[in-house]
Amino acid sequence: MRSNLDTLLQVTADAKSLALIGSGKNAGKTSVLNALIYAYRDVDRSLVLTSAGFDGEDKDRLSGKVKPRVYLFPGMYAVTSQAFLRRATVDPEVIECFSHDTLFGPPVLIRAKHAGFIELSGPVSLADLIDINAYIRHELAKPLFIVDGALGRKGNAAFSYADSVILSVSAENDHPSQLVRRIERQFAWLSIPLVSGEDDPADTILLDGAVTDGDVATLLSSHLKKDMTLLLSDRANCFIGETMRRELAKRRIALRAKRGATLVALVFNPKREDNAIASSTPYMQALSQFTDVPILKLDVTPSIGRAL
Amino acid sequence: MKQLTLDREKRQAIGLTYVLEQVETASPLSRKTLLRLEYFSESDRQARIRHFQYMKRLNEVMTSGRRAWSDVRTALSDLRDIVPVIKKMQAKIRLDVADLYLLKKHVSLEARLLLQPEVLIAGGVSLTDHTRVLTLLHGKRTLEDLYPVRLALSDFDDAELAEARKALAAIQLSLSEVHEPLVEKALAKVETAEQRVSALEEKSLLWLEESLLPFADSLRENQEKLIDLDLKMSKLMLTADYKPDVPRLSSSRLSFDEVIHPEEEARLKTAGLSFTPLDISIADGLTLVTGANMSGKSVALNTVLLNAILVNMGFMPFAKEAVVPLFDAYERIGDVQGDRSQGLSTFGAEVVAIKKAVSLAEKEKALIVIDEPFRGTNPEEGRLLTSGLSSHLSDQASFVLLSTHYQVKTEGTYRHYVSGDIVIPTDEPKDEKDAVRLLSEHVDYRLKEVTGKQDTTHKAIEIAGWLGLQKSILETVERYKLSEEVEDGNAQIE
Repeated sequence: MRSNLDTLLQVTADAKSLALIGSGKNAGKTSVLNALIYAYRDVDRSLVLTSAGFDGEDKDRLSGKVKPRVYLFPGMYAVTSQAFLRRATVDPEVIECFSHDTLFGPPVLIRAKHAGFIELSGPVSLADLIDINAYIRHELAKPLFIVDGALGRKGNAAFSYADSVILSVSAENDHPSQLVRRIERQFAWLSIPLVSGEDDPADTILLDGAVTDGDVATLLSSHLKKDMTLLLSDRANCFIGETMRRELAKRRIALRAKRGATLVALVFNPKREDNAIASSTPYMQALSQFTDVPILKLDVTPSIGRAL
Repeated sequence: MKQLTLDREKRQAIGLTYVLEQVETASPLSRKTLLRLEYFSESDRQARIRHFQYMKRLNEVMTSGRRAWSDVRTALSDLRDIVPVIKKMQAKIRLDVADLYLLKKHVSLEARLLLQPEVLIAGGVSLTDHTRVLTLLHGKRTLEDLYPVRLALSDFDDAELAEARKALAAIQLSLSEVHEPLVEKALAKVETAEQRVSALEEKSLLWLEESLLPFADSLRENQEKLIDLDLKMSKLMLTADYKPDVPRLSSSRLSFDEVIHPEEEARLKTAGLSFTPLDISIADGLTLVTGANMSGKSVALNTVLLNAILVNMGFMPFAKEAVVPLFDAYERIGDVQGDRSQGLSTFGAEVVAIKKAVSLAEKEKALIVIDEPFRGTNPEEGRLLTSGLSSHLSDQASFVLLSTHYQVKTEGTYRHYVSGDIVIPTDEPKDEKDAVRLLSEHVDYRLKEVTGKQDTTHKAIEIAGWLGLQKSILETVERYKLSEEVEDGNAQIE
């Protein structure tokens, strides 16, 4: 049977930019990040890590709870704000300083000269993230750019830079079926079918940028008719709620996207916020109804750098 | 250098915002300097003369199509702001690895540019040689390893620090295989090793900072020179298609041969039309521009003001030839909007703006354009006010360009240009857009200097008709016109 780490390598083999997203706090994103780092420790790819928030600090800045630190192997890359370099123990070699400024100084691309810890705090805007992603693709060989978290908690729009997504979920206080229901609602955008080829389907309305319930309601009262297709430029641009989706389905209006990140794996964290451990089997079974992608269980007593 | 004080609306109205958007600086840092909107004023006479001497030489390098030009542009695109790092150095704030990287990146850029003496000499750029700084920042790396620029604090390790770092690396590498409950103990070992590295690193950084400090001022100066070079090159490239001569300096004459307004030109080009270049020469005191509606008076005013500002900001003009004096200030009055919050009507706001402009004209050597003043009041008083204003401005040291439809009486002397001779087309337009297009094809936008008393052009009614104003209105207008002419005739007989 394939190990979890092998599965991670397999599902990310074709990815160039990967978003790690979670169903909430304590979902286990940073543990997944460490697992990816561990899985790629001997792989010939330029692994570049960053965070859309803060990662790698030993305690959560808001809650004070202990958090997993981010551990890098030699030769791996990270993008973090200048202020965090002083605390990095990887002997960071600066590859590039970007001009986009943040509260903690400009984001800096570094290469770890030896193994050690680093705190990650990357770019604060989607435009900056896209710029840095472009630089990495241009300058580094076989890059895999991994971004932990949502930019400014602004929701899915922040993921339009990524081609792949790993979703971490934790049980919290939900029953298995409630958990599935919750993530179905929260991540419905990930399952919007993509149109293939260059041509847009017939009777299509193409919308660039974010699309909200209000936009759809306006279209429904004017141009959007039965059997037509509402085509988004990116899956991540979808901010259409469940009720409006049902309305579209009722009117036989298809929702499609031209491009978008693909969910490649789902990770279940059985540890609740109160440190209680949930029984994984019923949750894993329920989650398998949500998606066909591999579902992995987070190790609740990981070694440093390994969590799966 | 002075900073332009025209507000955003005025900069937009004269087309300066458009021009600045078209400037492609190699480095974003130079763009920031450009947007400070600095210009040569009377106290910068020598600086402006030198600036255009260098622009002329750089222009020769650019037009010769030599590779050095593009090599320098490519290198300058990597220009970063090292001033915050220099400030930290001078304030004795500890530099970090990213600060040192930025300095290294900068001095290696200088080293690349020093290989292009032809462009540097043409641009009047004399860089301080920072080979010593580069050597310091390169640490233990070999010189063949200079590009791409990389920097780590371990580049500066002595034997003791290298040993301590090696020990830390080994402990940290073993961490990946440590399991609970040994994690805490392993992390404590890391902390001890890390403290040793930090203490030694501190010593090494202190030595490096002390060695770099004497170069702080020359590093800053070199950055300023490179920004200036980037701006000169970018400004030249902007007007390259117009092949302008270097503008000449004069105290008493502002003149342009075949000058154009780049934003208007671009707009007309999109519509399949072309801009008619203007020739104009004005002096201190007043110059009037009169002409029919839609004959290009406002564009002419904006073209002169824009190009004069650009030249004094160090641009080549959008003209074949230019003679541009140094001005201490610039002003534009036109399309003044009322301000209800201040209780000012459009007319009130215009009077306040004109009062300020007149004060400016009296105090400083300014270039002021006033587009159709006092048009928001009754024509008789508007004409009298414009006449009074013109008389007052005609003996000022400032250069004032004023457009009007009124038949102005002035006691002073002034130059007078007439814009646009319009021949109303005979073809029937398809729609309003077509009407405007056809009309613009029948306007001679050239400015003509005239002497002696000139009657103002009366084409407004014809133009209104051409643009499709309802026939019933025009018929009534014609009736009124006829009866007024009869009344005037009777009055003359009496």
